[in-house]
Amino acid sequence: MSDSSGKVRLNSWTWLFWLFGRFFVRAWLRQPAQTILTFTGIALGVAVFLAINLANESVLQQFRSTVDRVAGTTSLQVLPTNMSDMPDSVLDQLTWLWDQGANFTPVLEDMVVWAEPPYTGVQVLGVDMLADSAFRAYSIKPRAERARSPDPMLPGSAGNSGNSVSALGLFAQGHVLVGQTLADKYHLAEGQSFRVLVDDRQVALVVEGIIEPGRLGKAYGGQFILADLSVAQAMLNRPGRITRVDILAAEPKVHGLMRRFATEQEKAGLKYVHMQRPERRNQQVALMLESFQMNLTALSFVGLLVGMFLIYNATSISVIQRRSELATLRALGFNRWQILLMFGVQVALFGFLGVAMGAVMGVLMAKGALAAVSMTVETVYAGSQVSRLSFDPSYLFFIAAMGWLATMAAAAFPIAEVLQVSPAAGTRQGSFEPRVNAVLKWLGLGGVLLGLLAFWFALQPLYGTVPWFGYAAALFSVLAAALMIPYVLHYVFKWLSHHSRLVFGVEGKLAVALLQGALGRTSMAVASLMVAIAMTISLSVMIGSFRQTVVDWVNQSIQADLFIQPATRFRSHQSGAFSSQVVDLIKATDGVADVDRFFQDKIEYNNRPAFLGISDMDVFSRRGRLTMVDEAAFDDVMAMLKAKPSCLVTESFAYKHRLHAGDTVRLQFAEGPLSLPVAGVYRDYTSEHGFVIVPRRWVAARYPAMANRVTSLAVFAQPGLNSQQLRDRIEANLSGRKAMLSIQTNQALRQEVLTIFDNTFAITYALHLISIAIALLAVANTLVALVLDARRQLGLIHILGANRRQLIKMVFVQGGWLGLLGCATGLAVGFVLSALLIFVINKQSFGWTIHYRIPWLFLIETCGLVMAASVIAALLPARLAVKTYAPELVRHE
Amino acid sequence: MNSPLRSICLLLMGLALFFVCSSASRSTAPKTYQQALPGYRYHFPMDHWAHKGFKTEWWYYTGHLFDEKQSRRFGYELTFFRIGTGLPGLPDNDWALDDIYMVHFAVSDVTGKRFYHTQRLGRSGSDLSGASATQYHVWVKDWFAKALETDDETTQWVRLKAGSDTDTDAMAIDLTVNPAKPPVVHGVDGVSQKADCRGCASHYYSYSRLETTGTLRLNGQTYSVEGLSWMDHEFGSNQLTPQQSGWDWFSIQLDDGSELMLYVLRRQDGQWDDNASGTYIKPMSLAIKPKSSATAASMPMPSVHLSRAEFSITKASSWTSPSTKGTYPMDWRIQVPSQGLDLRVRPFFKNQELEIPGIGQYQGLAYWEGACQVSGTHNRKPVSGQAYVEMTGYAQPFTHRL
Repeated sequence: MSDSSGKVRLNSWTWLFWLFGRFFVRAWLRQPAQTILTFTGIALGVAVFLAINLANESVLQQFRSTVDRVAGTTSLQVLPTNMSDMPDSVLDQLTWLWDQGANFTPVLEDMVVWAEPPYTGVQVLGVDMLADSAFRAYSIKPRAERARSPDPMLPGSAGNSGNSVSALGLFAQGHVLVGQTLADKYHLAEGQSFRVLVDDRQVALVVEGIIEPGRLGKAYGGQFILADLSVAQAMLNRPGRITRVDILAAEPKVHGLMRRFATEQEKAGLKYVHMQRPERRNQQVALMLESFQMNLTALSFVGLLVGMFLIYNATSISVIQRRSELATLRALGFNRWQILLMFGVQVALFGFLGVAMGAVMGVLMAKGALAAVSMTVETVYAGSQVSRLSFDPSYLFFIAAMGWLATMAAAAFPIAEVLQVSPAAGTRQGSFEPRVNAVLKWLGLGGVLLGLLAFWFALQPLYGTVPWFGYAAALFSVLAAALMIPYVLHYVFKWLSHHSRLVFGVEGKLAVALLQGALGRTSMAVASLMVAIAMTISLSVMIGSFRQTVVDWVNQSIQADLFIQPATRFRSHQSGAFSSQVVDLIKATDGVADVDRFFQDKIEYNNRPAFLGISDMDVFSRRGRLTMVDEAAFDDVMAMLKAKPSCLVTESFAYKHRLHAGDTVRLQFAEGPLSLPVAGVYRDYTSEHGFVIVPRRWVAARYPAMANRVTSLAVFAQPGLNSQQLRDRIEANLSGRKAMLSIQTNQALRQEVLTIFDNTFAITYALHLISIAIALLAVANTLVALVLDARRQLGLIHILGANRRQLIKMVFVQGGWLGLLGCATGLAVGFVLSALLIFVINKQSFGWTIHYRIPWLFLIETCGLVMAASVIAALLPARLAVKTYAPELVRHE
Repeated sequence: MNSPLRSICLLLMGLALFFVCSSASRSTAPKTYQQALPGYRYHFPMDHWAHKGFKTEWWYYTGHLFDEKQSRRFGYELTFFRIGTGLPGLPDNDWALDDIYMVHFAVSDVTGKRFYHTQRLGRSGSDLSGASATQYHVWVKDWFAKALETDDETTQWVRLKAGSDTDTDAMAIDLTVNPAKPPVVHGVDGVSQKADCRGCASHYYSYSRLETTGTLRLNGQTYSVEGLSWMDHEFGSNQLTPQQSGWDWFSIQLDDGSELMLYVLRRQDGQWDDNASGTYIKPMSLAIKPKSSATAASMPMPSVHLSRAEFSITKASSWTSPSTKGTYPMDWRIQVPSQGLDLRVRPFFKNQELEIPGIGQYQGLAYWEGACQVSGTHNRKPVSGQAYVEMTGYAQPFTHRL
């Protein structure tokens, strides 16, 4: 020691590095299990956080890029508001744009379905091929040499190879351009024909050319069909319809045009459309996915939080282990800042390595997460696949940096304690225990206050679109519980010290006494376990309750024997309608008792996405059953719907737009406005954006042309006929029509709803598993910290006559108590969190009422697992305890 | 003979190959068009309107304009084309590409010796572009030629509007033209023959002298202008043969009140096709006076058909386009002995070539259409005047296969 102090004087910085190596690197190597545990924990926490964020970002990124590529140079767009398309005569109302120096062009966008397995959706973009070059840039792959004529200039002779020809071919029925990815995926070449499903028909198309990747060619990830508007209208069976008008205007004119549009709207009866910047579609997509992504992000934060606990623990252990060395160093003349730096570098390095590993794992996991997120997005929201992970590398860096900062922040407390190590005090083992006892009551009081605050947050209504108060309530209740833990444990241990002895003998009493002696450390351990367990519990309660709610709802609301949709709606693609002959044929099939015709379309209501449904209410009112929200009787509501023009809305729609029975829903169609009072609000879990359901008769009364559209049928069989028989009959009856339909039996549809549900929660299930893993890591890590902290006491007990077996038993009892306390507090907080998730966050995000249900079996399993893990995790610290060399430890006494 | 033939060729050539390539996938027969055959009787104003039974049709305005102070001189070309695609297997809806509408718009700043041009395409879907078959109105978006409704039957005002601020070269015209002479029908027996084959012809008439007033905007400056315009309306279905490579067209307005139209079809061997011809239009005072001014507008103007043998055109120099590398004749001597005409036609400046960029996957095209000055003698008396000359088939993009 003395010669090292001489060297220290010579060059304390060199020594600092030397010490660093001796102090930390060697320690890491000496305790590989502990190091790996901490390291994996951090990496896993960061990885989860990263994976979710990258997957979310990829989804949005792809949307943004597609929106930008499809919008091209467009500066403004005109879109229908309460329908997914509009008549192309809207263009005649926009000619004033020319006087303003603006140009415009129509666009028809829709999804079709590849006609063979796996029946993936393919986007169709119909544009005016003659006018479009100013709006959208793309290039067509040079095609293989075609027959050349002697003279291309001349009529009657077969001409020039090349592009002028394909340009004309583009206007022929069924002739389309396809994106490179689509061509590659299905091995399409120029001139080749292929089939897609449109509504209930198969449509044959011919590849006129392949669009090179780049600019427009990369929209929809290259999986799209580009066609002239005339061809697109024909293939989609939507003559005279467009979905959008793209407007090209000089930037300084844009605001003027928007103002002018507002006045023209009044004048020209254009109330059913709105004008917006193309970027707003990005916002709309983001808005559509917001709740879903927000929930995922919040969950991923929990992963990060657990990672933070782990690094907190690891740093604490490191500080505790080296306390006497630190005091020595202080005595040798190192100042506290140098020591702080040494620890800082250690944590930074540890964190950095953890985050780096987490980043690699995160990117790998993100691919899995993307598949899950994308599946959800495709199933429930946007109907378009996101196949590739695509994000700005700087985004990865940003998220990783956030993860790193978080770990640094977590380590700040234990490191700060280093500053308080005085040359003298540091030589006393155990003096480092945070002095919780003195502030026990204040901590408890703080906990109660935070708890009250959390409660107050939970009662707040939704402001904006994100339930920030809900998230705050969740965060504050966890913090409140963490603060209250020392106070609670203080009394628990008092009680336990007696009872533990009864069960586990003197070792039991000593184990509790040790836990109680290190109340600060114990509290921290229990708190970190609590968070991990609470996360697991709350997720399972939430998902379990939600799933059960949906199961009940499905069993109650899915009543018909068969559900028939055009094939394009298969797999939840959201476009496609029946031809009326097919509907008539199905109705006329022998054995069909009743048919409820349903029409569904995406709309925008108060600038938020929603759905419009048109239904034959009379069949429904006789045979269907809906659960009304406000205890209103189903039959009364049906009677009202029948008696006077009115509509139904779903719970989520009512929640989002703050509507109640009796309020008015105002819709604007191309045909004119439709304002209807709300007859009732019913529970529905098919869409978070919500439905407005209008009885077909009230639409027909105002706009007969609109009332004939049908997108799905609910078919009821005559008594004595089962759904399979009915299905066979309908298929036989339709066999000549070659209609492409998806016919599902009641059973299959119920199953599908649950499959969709499970797909939606695919990512949550994965998170759930990871949270259990992290919880187990937390148990092991905490025990290591505790044992290290209690080495002096263990040494004393050993000297006083305890044998090794008794020491091991003590550690196992500690592990068991810790596990049990973690479980108990975790369950308590988990119930609170699950209640917040179900009644506040979910309700505010999606507007759904979920019936709270406790999956007891799962909870018992989880607690059993945690207890078992806690005891097993005690193996390592037990070995540590036994290895403790008593004389050295008690020397200071 | 006008440049639209080029466009037709382009389309026809596409069409031809289209048949070859896609006959397997489509059974629908292509649309059959009416042929321009001898014996056609003109009826005005109906013949100003669209003739959709014919494959191609254009309304072609060229003119010479002066600003109020007579300090600035301009030439302009504004042409509306309707080109029937005749494509088989088109979808059955309003947007089906039965016709393509195209506008070429050019301004020659004679004083500034600069040439500006632009073009626009349109289709009939949702009536944003079209040509009416019940009135004189042809339009591609907000560019149009439209007969103005007047109470006075003697006036036949047509409003021409084209151009906008958003074009790269900001230019626009808003003109009103009013015929100083009745329409004159070209050719023999109602057809202007373009090749020997049957139907290889068009129905072709002109307003050879249109008084023109209005505004012209160029590079942010608006000029009140007046001057004289020439209008061609031509429709037919099948005009060129494989042996023909291009054409030269002259419309000459002389200060003595007479006009001369000549066109020459060039063969691939460099010789003129025998179907080259022209029309001499006498000054109004020498023409037979119509009984009323109303009939002046609806009765064709007496004119003299000039056959291939009756005139000669010789070039004195040539000009090579720096961008297309096409070499065009410049500076012509035109002699029509039967009418006592010996004229020299020189462009006000040389670069008046239109380069029409390819549209989507269409090849571009280029031709020369320029304002020219005329001097010479008419029946031995000195005469001066102005002309528009069109020359096609000289530029590289169109001749690379020839």
